[in-house]
Amino acid sequence: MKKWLVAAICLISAGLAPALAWAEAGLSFEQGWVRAVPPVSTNTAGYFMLHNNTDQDRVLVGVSSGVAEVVEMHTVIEADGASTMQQLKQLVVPQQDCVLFEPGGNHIMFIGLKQPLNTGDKVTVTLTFQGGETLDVALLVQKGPQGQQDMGHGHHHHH
Amino acid sequence: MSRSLWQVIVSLGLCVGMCFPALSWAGDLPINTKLGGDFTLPSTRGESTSLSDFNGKAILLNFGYTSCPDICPMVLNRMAAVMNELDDERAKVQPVFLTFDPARDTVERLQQYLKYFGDDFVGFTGTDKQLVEVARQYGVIAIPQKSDSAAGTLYTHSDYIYLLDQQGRVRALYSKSDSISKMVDDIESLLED
Repeated sequence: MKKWLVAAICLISAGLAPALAWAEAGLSFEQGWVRAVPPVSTNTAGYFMLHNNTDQDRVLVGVSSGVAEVVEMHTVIEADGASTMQQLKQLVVPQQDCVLFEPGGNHIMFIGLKQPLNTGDKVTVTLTFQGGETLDVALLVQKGPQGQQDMGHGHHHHH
Repeated sequence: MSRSLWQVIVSLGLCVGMCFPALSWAGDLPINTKLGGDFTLPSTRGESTSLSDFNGKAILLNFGYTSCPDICPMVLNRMAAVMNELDDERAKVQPVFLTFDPARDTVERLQQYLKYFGDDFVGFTGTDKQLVEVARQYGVIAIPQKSDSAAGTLYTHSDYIYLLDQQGRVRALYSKSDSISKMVDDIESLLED
């Protein structure tokens, strides 16, 4: 997604403080969900918007969850008519800014689901930042983005 | 699937956008004379199924792999959304998914995976060689990536949904930015022809 658009979404959502789950560390998240997939699937993806409400950049260095053997951060690079998934070892969340995890873009990859996830389930993901601080985010299992068509990266409509 | 085998189709895949100026028209949608064609492969309908077995129906066709955590289920969700919008005309449209990951995507796995999106979804698999050939026919990019991910093989791939008419001719390609309503409108116009 274009940088200016992400910035605009961050600004808009920053004004929705009551809707955010605030963390003591000055980090907050919203719009968290996990894609519901067929029961036979062992992999799925999770998405959310992560805000850094502090005056220092924060670096996300790890993700984990009890629902999967492994959880990784990935991004999608689109070039020449094809998409490539690239694993992220870390992700900077700039000060007073946010990063988006969205279909076709940055996403949390759940690998080796321990059991099928059902629509409506809540999945807890622990985000670990450089320095050791952690933030637990609760993601709702659903078929697609709430109130939007499933259109992927760059077609985000904020409500 | 071997990386080199898939790489031969990259440049062919890149022609998807360039090949699309249609050479002929019928109704509202152009007929793409550069892409497409029949194929016969093992499917969730039987050991040997041809795409032409579905002649008489419009076809929504997509290529992907079931281990894909992000884009492929999103695209299949979009196909399911289109099918659900069709109501009474659903029976006149055949959703088809073709894997390019036959090592993991057996007929049985495709059967279990696709029924989640709709009982009428049909999945095709085959040998590496067969699938590369079909990918070439349709200008599909699918390249296994070297990755340290615990997910194992991930693919660099295109993700178009192809709309074929009742004669199996490619009439439209849809990217992720195309709306569900546009796809439904196009299908309805084909069904009226």
